[in-house]
Amino acid sequence: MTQKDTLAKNEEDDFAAPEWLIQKLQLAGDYQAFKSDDQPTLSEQYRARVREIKETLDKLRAEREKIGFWPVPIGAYVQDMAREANLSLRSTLIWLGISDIHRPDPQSARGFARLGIELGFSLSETLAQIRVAIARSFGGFPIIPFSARFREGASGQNDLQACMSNLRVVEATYDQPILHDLRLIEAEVRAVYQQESQ
Amino acid sequence: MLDLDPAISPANSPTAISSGEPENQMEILALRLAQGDDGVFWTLFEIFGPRLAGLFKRKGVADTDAENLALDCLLTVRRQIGKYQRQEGGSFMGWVFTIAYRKWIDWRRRNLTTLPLDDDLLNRSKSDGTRPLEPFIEPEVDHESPDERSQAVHDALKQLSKDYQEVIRLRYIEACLDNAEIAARLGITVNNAKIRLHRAHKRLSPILENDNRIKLRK
Repeated sequence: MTQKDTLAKNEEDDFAAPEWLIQKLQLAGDYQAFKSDDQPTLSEQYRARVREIKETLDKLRAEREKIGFWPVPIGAYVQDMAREANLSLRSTLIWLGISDIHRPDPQSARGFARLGIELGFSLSETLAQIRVAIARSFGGFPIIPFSARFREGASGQNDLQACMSNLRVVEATYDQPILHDLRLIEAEVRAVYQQESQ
Repeated sequence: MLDLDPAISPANSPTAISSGEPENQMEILALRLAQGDDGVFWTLFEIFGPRLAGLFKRKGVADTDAENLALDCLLTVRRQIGKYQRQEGGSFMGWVFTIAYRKWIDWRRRNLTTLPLDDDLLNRSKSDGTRPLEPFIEPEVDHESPDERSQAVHDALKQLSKDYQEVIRLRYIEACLDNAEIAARLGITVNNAKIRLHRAHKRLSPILENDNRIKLRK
């Protein structure tokens, strides 16, 4: 070891690289790598998956714009739209991390929030349809046929307000563990929507 | 509709942005996306898909998760393109990078495991082929534009000796090597690599702290 490379004890003690410095250097390095033209090649399998997911989301969003809000469980709502548009949801649900579209839970809540954002649901609409799904799983919410949406011609906003009122009544009967899960789901969904607004 | 360089068309699927003035081409793509030209999505996918997946893998995300996050970013770019405004010292590339970094921070936060407070563990060399565990402190990705930050670091590095530049580049810029790897690359001892890095940090710190392009948390 040369004298030049010997670290005196007092030198070691009087300076510790600040966290901000490490972060700025890492960020600069990551950005240089990001801008570089030397990048990995994407597999055909991945390309095909992206095409399928994008097409599914685009078509679902178009369907959703026609229908608007409807107080049915989120899974039934999305699945009915997919059936109408002749779409498979499999790749999209895997990408979103949703294992069962009919059973929202705290683990899949982020996926439902991302799905809601992609389809153009407001935060209130996404939360309402998730809460309807949970209420329905206990048989505590009336089933309103999807086709009735077009017969009644009620405004989506009125549907949403009525739905929220009904949910408050139903949820007052829930046990603590269910309420706990519901709060966790709501917190996750709100967090994703909040990130989206940043 | 704006005329676009034929080199940036979905048919040519460019990963490299090498023709004409790349920054202007990117800004035109951003503008077209903002105007609702959804066909641009696939051009952006070809340009940014590999970059995003590559960034996430560099940050320790497994392959499938990296690809999923890359798609999440691209859809976010499409949704939020209306928020993009080119600012002095900034770029569309930098804006996408910032979105990606936020996604990674969020992923990292959700996948964070509790680390034992054990210095040996934190400093352990990767004899088992894994990286030493590092505590996660969320980077301040929004404080300045990636372009300005990069330029400031680049300018600061030029003020260091060649030896110190070398260790910083190997640690942060061109690779993410640890002390043992830097030592092997440079043919010096691990202790010497550690000392050079320490001194390089020490010299860089005041230079960047006094650079008004670098914003620090108050």
